[in-house]
Amino acid sequence: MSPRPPAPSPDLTPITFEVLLSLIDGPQHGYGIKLDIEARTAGEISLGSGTLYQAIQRLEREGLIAATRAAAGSGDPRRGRSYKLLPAGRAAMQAHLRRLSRVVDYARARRLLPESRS
Amino acid sequence: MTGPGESIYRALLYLYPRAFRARYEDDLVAFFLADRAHPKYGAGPLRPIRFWTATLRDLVRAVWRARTGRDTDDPRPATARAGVGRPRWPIRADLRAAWRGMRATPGVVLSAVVLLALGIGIGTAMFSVVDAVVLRGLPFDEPDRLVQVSESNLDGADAWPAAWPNYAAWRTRQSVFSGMAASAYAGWLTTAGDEEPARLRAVRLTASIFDVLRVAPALGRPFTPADEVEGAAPVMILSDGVWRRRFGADPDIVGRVQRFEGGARTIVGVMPRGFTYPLGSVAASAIDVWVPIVPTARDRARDGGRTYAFTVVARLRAGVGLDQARVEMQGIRGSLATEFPKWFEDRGVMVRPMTAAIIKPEVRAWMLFLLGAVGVVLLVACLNVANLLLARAIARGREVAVRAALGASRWDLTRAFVTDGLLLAALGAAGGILIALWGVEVLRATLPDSLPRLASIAVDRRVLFTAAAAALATGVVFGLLPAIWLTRPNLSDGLRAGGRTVALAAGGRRARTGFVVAQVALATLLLAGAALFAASFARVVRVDLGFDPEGVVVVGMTPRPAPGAPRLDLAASRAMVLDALDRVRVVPGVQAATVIGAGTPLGGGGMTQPLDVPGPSPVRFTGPDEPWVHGATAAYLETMGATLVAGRWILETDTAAAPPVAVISDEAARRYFAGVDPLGAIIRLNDRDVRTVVGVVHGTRHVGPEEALRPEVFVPFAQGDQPSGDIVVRAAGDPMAVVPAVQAAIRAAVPNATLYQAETMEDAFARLTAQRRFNMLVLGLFGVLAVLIAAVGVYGLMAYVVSQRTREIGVRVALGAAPSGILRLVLGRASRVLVAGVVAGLAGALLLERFVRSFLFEARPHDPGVYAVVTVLLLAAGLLAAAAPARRAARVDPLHALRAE
Repeated sequence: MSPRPPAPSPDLTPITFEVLLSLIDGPQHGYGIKLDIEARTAGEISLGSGTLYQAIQRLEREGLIAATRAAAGSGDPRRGRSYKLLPAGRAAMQAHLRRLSRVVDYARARRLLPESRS
Repeated sequence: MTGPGESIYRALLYLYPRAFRARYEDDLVAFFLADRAHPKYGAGPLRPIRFWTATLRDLVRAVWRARTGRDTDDPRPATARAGVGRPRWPIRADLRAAWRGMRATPGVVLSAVVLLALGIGIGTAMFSVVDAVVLRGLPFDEPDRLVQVSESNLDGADAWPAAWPNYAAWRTRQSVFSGMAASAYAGWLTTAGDEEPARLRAVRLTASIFDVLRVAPALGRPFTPADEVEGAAPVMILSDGVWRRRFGADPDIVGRVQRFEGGARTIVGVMPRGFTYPLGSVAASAIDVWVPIVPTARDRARDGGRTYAFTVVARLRAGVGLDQARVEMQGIRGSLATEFPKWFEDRGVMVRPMTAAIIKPEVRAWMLFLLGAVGVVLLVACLNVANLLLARAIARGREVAVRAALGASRWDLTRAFVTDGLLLAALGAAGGILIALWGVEVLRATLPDSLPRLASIAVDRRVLFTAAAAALATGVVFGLLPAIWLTRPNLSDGLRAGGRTVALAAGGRRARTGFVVAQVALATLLLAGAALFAASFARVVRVDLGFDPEGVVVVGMTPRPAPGAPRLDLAASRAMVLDALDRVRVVPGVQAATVIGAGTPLGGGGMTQPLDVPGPSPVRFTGPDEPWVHGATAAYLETMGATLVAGRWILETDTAAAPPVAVISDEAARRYFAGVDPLGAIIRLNDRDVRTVVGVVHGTRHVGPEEALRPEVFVPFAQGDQPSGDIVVRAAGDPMAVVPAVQAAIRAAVPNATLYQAETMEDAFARLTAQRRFNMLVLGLFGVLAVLIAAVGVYGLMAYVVSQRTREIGVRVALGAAPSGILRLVLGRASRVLVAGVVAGLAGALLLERFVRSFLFEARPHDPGVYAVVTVLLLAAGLLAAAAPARRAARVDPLHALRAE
């Protein structure tokens, strides 16, 4: 039996994970999150409003992020509410990253990915 | 400021679940507004399209995810998703559950499906008729640009065909139409040659009609202006039907010459299948050939008589509206009126859309009325289904309560009911479409031939779509109704009541009672309508025609000279007809035979002439007072079963040489001689024919039972100026049986006679009353169906009430209540429901009566007899339906009933 890759986190989907990543540097409003994800993924993930806010709804429900009144940067109320990362969200993200990191290590060991750190 | 885009987006947000929208609406809109500036949508005119495409795609996906719980973004199995538990709409599981539920009560379900199928089927069939007759557009290119131009009286109330010189002037002076064309009936063309003579129904057309209608022959060429010149070689174009029937669909038909009495014609074309013109009230299949209009010098002249015979159609030029065309045509009429004042002192001009000219308002009203009636039937069927679903919902009240207690959401429970309704509706629709396919055939055969576009009635995609939509709406609406109040938040009541579902039952009984009352009311309405139409039909049938149509057949004939012989003069022609009559009289089975000149009763033809009563103060009768003038022989009274009122009838001795005499009808005596004895009086017909009145006969309704009596004058056929007449025979037994022998006898006397299709007087009567018969049958069918459905509803309700109150009834019986008392209790309750329904229905019928009065013959307003019959019928049917549950209640065994708890 060859070792199996660990399963991804049962709590985070690709989109919720991306949303959490976008909140590391501080609270963001919805559209800011969208632009951030687009910039980070070179436009590969471009979220529509419904998809984004369904992800936000799930994260809010699971206690990983929360709406905040203190909008970072632009205080433009027309941009909508801002969301901040909660400690549980940071923990979930870190757990997810650890799992991903294990997956990446595994993939490198099997030469599925090039060594990039050298 | 809110732009239109934002408003649309906000409206679309209602597709999301309410909780989601409540929390994120402003955020979503903020996102939407910000996203409009996103560079990825590019630039140029396509930018908004790209933006909206992306926005809507996201919306649809997100709504789908939210509504179904199917999150494509979420890799976990559906059951593991937080807050969902399982798919939001497990369609297959719901359908399985609904199917299981239905199989548990097959009888009830079957009756509901059958009733729904009948409702949808009959509704669909009727809709296909209405669609084909009044709703669908005309079968021409851009039909809404076609108009009919008619002459009218000065106040523009009535439209008449145009006179040729006026049509010609309109055509050359107008600038609003891209083309104008005329048509006129040309009667029958009788074929000549070796074979048995046949008659082809012909219409005359101008060559311009092909451009105006934008049609072309499938074979050969259209008419050209060269065909319209006097002296041009006579040509004709065949209909597809006659080309197939008579010419075996010969592809080389163009160029063939067909001989007719009065000349030969060259076939120059065949019109495509389905083409017919004009589209008026003549049955679509009836036109066989088209021939060019060749106006003669007399037609074109403005000095001779005025003949109004031409139906004019025109196509509006691009960019020209109807009003503009009307203004210009009024202007042309004005200048014509100054040039030819005699022609226009009583004539205006009318421009109408062609659709309005063909589909007369009364036909439209009739069709929409039938559609309304069928809608009521469908509604009664729907109420029945709702009732059934409700009953099942109540029966499942405990299950509902348990499921709710176990955490089933209101949405879960609602879905179960809606799935139930949809499944029933789907089964009903499937059956309904089968019934519709069959029903359309029946309707097409039953509807009066005079209905425009009868031949184009068919169940097509439009009609099927309507049926499906009706079924879908039924399923959703009547599935939702029980769901809405059964799943109200106090569901736990169902559990607390120890399984007897009292709380659900109370509301359920009220709703079911309401449904049944509504069913009874609608059934009353339909039955009242049916009764009104039946009474009206009975009045039509009972009208005194003035003769006895039973056993009488009309055999039409025209004497013709032998080939090569000179034209027949009046005397020779008349002698031939009388000779034929003598031979017909001795045909076995013929009881009596006469000749009737100038149109037989109910035959649709006739001739009126102005009549003068000379004397010291002469009176002239014209217009509506002009009498029908018939030629007749001595045997007329016996043949027709008419009654002589005074004086004598025409005798064999009233020959051409004898003094001219006439017999007038009692109506004529009343109008012309008002109380004075007319016998021996002198009358003058048509300004020249002076006769002595020798008798008075009971008047006949020449045109049909609904026509007012018109004066009549009978003159001896041997003395009149009619060269021919139809031979009318009274036969013992089936009158059609003697027709071959009668026709052989005629042919023996007049070898070259043209014989026409024989028609019995009873068939003619049926033809004239076809629309009334149809209305009566259809409404009768609807009424009976509605009463049946309502009776099923009453039965269901009372059975339910009895089963709910079994314990109470048991207690009553144990305390000494007599079975008859229990019976009264149940029937009393049924009566209250019935009376409420009947009263509501009667009130509705009395209110709606005035809308149907125009369809009734000599309607008596609020005819008490009709309404009494309806009331009695419905109460009887309802009590009969309630009898079985009532008897069951009366036989309740108290011990058993009490133990059952």
